[in-house]
Amino acid sequence: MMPSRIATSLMILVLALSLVLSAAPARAEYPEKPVEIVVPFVPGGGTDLIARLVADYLGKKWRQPFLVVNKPGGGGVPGARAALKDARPDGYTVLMDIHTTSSMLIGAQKTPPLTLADRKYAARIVRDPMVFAVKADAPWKTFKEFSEWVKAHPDELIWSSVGPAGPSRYTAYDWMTQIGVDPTKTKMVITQGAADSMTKLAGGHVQLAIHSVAEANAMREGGKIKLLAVLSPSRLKALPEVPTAEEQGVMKGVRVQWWAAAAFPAATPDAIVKKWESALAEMAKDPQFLAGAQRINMNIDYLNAAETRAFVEKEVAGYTEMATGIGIRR
Amino acid sequence: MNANRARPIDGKIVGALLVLLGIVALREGRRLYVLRETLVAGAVVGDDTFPMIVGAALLALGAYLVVAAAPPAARVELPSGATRAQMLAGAAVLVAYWVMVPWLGYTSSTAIVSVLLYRGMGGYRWPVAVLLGAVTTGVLYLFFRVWLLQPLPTGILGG
Amino acid sequence: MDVLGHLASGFAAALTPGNLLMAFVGSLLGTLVGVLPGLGPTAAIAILFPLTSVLGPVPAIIMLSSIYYGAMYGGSTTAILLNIPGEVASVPTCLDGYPMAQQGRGGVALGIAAIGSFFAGTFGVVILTFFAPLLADQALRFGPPEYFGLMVLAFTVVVSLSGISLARGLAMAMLGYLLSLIGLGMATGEARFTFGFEPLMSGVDLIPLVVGLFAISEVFLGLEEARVTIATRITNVFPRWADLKQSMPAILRGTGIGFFLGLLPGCAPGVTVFLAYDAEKKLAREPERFGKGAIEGVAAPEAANNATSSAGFIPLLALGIPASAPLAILLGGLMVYGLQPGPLLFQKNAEFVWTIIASLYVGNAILLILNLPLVGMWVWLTRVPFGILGPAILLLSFVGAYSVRNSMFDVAVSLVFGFLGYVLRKCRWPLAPMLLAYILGPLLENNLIQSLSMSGGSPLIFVQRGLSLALIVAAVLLLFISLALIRYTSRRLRETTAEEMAL
Repeated sequence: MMPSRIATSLMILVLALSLVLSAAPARAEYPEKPVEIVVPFVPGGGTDLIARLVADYLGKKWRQPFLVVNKPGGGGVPGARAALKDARPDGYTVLMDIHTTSSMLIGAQKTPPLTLADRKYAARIVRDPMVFAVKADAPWKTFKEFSEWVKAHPDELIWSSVGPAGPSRYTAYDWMTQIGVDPTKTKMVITQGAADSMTKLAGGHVQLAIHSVAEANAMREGGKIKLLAVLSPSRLKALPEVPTAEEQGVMKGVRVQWWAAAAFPAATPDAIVKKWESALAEMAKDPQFLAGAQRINMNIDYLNAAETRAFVEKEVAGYTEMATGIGIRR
Repeated sequence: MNANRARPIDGKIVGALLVLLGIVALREGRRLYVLRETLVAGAVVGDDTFPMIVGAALLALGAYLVVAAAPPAARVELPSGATRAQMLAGAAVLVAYWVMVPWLGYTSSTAIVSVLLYRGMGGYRWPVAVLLGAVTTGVLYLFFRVWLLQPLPTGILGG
Repeated sequence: MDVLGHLASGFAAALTPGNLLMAFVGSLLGTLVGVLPGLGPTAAIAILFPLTSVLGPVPAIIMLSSIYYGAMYGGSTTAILLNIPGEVASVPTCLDGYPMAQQGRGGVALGIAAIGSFFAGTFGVVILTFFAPLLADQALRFGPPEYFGLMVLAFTVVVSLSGISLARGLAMAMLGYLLSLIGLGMATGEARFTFGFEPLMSGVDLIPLVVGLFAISEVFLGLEEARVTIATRITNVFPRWADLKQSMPAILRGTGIGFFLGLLPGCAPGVTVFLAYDAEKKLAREPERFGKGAIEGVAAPEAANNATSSAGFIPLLALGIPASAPLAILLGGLMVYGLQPGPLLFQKNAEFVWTIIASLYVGNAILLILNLPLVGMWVWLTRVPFGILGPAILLLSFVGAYSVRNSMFDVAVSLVFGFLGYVLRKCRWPLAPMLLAYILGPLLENNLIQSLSMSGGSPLIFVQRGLSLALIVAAVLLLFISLALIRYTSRRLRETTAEEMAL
């Protein structure tokens, strides 16, 4: 059957209408259309929560919708690649970059799927240190005491890690080599994520879990676990009673911590990245934003674009060395 | 309309397929076993354990189906004539939709595809199909793009 | 806080306007899709699942469970009015419901079905309220070996989902397993079964899989069956006092049978409805009335259906074991939000669980209120031509599969599984075991590997710990019970429909 004339014109009308509906408005100052913040992880995780907070702040500031787009799976690599390599470098796609999609990934592989040259950092927003957690009624009182016990009984230690090459494993490796314990003698239980790992700790199925403060805080507040040490240059304002690993004389230096930064594709115009940098600097001082961050246990710690880059480069060096030591670099 | 009668997928064919998949799984397990030995020294189990188990199970089940599968009790009627044409058209339009979206964007593609589906699968006359297509596209657009702010593909041509 | 206190706070959350709206919209949408000829609860929940993925966890799960209940109810509408059972669970309802409709008592049948469903559903949820927390108290004792035992127990469900042939069920389960293995392995982080193809690194996502297997394939099946509609006149949906008096004992018995058997993991509504129907027939003074429009023949299986559906929430929430295909999709939905059903859910997400439980009460009430006055509209809806329905479902499936991860690859996955699902369903290879294995496979694997990492490789860890040993013994026992029940049900099903239908 041939289409009638009415049908043809209706069809054209539908097409035209759909084009009009989705066409961009007239040129104006950036951002002139919705901006997508790519989170390469599932909704509800730390990266997602902070991205939503940032989206909310910038959306109000710049009066444009900021959409958080979750592209989970594959350890975050496909999502990060989609944002940094496949997207148009026009400033309307930004990646919420964290250590597992950048420094840790680059450190663990000789030919990483994404490098530092693929991204332009606007700013680091969050720094969340790692803590050593044991069950609330565990016999050890200090991190020092615990480390002595592990030194004496390495084969009795069962600890939970997240993923085979995640922050927990690096931290454990760093700690064990510093106190002179062979990590392969201990029993590592690989869990699916922080929540899974924390429950195993609270149930007494593992003796040690190493997580970031944000990840461990709920169980601590619930009284199920206690924190022996925080891996940070100084004690945290939010956890004044938890001593650092260094002040207990167990470990030196901080080579692993959770962080999140806004990263753009390498070819993004500098003016846009600059605009983000200063907006994020303002954001890190905004009381309303800080209150929101506190609700999700996020430690806001701003670094500007240049500092962020230097920070990540230093991390890459640390992870490269540790990955080689563990034997997982290839 | 004269319906084709065909045997349902015979247990033996599926059995052979399972054997094949079993071999693939076992090979993958073997590859992962070698990797594990280098990456997580000392572990007794790892990423290779389950591919091995599933591979072995597929092999056993496949072999069982090949040897012991009874001939199917009922015959399956395959579609024919107009129905088959409708189904093939529907499938083709869906595949074309998938190809089209990255180029034309979600909204324009949906407008075209919905009209074609109502015409091809629903058998409506062109004016009716266009009207139905316009309404469907409008509803989907309002729901996903306007209300839920879903980032649907915009397409290289800007649609 | 005690159970009632928890429940009260759950109600407070479930009755917020937003959540109430979700329960309402869910019941409405679920009934709507369930009413459409040939679309049962599994298809309904598969089609509507992607829509909920844009919501937060609590509203999404409230909506999903309301969709589930609604679709169950909608299914009975088509069974009574059109003699089309959307799912095995509605087959017995056809036996007396359709004759009632032919006698012009379709409205009464629908009314009794709604009342029976409400009663049984509410009863189920009341028991759930008091029973599930007992299990949950054991929560922290569940370590990897116990979860492994639980997963073995869950696996016996494959048997009851297998339908006509156990070998076919097992084969599909293994395929489901294989699918779940695609992506990054948990122990080494190494890509598995990707063969260098990068999009596969993220694995096959649940929603595109479900949309393909159950929604897209449904359209092709529907197209082929050239589904027809019959006009029926509905006058009065409110049963007379005599009808109520006659069906009340049947509702009570149906509820009892449906609920207590439904507690067994793996005892799907498809099994209990036949038992309930047969019990009525055996107890009746004039058994010859059955099959000719006996109201008890509608009341008992409908009550059993809903009682089993509600009871199914207990093993689902407390143990993470789904008893039927729609519950398996619901389990997947919970996991999408990082909520791992199991004993710990009550501890870690108590607020969430109690909101859901409260919303089940609300959902049941909404369904009753919605259904009695709206029966006329549902009847009208059974006449929506497939030419509109089919394309609409396809368009919705397409955008649904895309929006989960904003990925065109996922859309391709849903299309491939749509075509594959059509062929498999056509040739009677059961899809539910595949889905179950796909969802539970990774849990089984993780817990096995974790257990053996804890014990340094010794499998004795599974029998040394009392709880995991008990679970494994229970799994073996349940396997035999399931086999016996399955034999009974498939015999009854053959007698009733003279054809083999996948359970």
